[in-house]
Amino acid sequence: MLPIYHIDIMINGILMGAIYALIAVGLNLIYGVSRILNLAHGDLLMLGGVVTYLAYNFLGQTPLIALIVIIPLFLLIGGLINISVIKPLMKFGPERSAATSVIVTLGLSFIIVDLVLFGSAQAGISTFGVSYMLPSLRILDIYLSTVRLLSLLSILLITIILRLFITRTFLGKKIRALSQNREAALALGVDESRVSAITFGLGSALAAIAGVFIIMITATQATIGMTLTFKALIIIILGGMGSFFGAVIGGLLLGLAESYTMLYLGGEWIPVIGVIILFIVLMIRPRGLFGRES
Amino acid sequence: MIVLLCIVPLFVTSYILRVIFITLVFITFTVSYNIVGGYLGYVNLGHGAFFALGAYTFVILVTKLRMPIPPSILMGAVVATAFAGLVSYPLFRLRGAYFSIASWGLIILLNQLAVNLDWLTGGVWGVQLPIPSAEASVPAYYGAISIMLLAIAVSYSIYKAKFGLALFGIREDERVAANFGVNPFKYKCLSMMVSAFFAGLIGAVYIFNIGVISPSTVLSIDVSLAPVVMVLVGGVGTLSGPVLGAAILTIVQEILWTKTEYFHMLTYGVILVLVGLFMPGGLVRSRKLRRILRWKEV
Repeated sequence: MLPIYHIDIMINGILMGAIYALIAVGLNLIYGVSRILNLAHGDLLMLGGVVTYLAYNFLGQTPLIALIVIIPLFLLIGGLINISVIKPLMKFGPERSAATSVIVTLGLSFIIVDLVLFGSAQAGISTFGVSYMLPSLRILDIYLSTVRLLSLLSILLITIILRLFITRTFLGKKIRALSQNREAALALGVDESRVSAITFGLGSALAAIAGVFIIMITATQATIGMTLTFKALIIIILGGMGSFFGAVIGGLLLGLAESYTMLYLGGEWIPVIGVIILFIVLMIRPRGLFGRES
Repeated sequence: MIVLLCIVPLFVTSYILRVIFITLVFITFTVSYNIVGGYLGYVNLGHGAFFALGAYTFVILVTKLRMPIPPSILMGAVVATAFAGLVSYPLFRLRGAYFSIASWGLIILLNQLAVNLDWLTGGVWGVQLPIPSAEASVPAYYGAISIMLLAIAVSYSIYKAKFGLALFGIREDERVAANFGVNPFKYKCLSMMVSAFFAGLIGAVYIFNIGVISPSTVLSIDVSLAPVVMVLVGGVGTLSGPVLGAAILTIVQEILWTKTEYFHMLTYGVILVLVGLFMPGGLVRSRKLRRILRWKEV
């Protein structure tokens, strides 16, 4: 296979990887601050995709414009979820709440998925896709998909903004403080429930953004949520728990691995490669590549 | 009660027999889940994978290798147990919610394999067993009774014995338990294998009765996650909790779900959220209920 053809696969892989990285970073943020792994995270992504779908098909808005609506919307939704469902959990104390949070977020996941399933069944649709086309770019002899490149650039931009947010702003520092050392942060006066709610919103918004991009690339169904949450987990473990950079690298690696799997083995094996990677990492280096709090 | 169960097939219609059978299956399934999910405290979302493995192994052995039924059922349990043992190594490197999500990966994995390896598993369409359902239902029923009783007996003996104590210790505080001489991995792995054994066993028997297997029947979300919900409703980590939860929910399912095909997952979800927030101990542990029924907790 000529290297030129590889570029297309690599771009695909990197793009998927970047999307996965967004999901993973969002989940990681939430976990770092509240010690809760939101099993409904992938479903929020799916919801982001659904909103984009609706916006595109019924309002004629381009997906990238939809982002402007989606970001604040999901910031709000995430915050609401946190306040209504997660906060009561925290009463039980960090240990108990971790176990119950699995149950509760799982339940949330079911509710979201079933509502979407119901809605889509009523509307007669089983998969959502947004076929947003822009003219292709031509470099040398290859045609590159403009949409994908744009998406990649957007995600890059978002990641940079996020990174700046976390390192430069006061809120970002509070988030990091809570993630690194909860007691010390509390002692220094960080309002845990407020930061937690905001972070939940932030993480959810990131997931929804990822959903926007995913729906532009592939057709999605209501049920992809759990699988994607699982992939986010793979990335977090691969990259190392608590590491922002690790999540990004992990995401890119997974995306590339999937892309090459699609090439050599066929698309059906993609979920399997994720599981295999997960198990290999767990057996060989459970800490992940860059494990330790960021 | 047991005697009652045994003579039931003589009197009821085959529909009711099947409902009772499914209840028994889910009770066993939930009791087996409880060993890891309840006693050990690790929410194993992938428990359904053991059930499915038992079922698929059984089907493959019977259809492809033409093995007789009873050894095939046993092999289903053996394969599930071996798989559990193998998979313990990577899975138990994780704790808490990480473990839960990773264990869900087992279901994703099996689902994918079942669909992809269609020369073995019949792919998405599945395989039909060459056994007429009418012939299978009575022996399957008795098989289910005995397996359920065995599972409950094993669950009880674990509960009372040192093994159970070790599991509880790990659940409450793993490091402290380790300090007291409990080898965490050994107990985690063993408990997972025991729970997988019964899941695989009952999975095979279930499919023996149903007669048809496909990824959507054994690897669907409502089957795989049913034990989690049932144990939660009944009482996590108790002895009678899973039995109660499974019995109640299966019957509720039978009644509700035949009315509408939507909102199955929604119901589960709402139950999960409500029970998680307000009654995380489950029905068995609820003091109000106990006062009403004057029932001692087991």
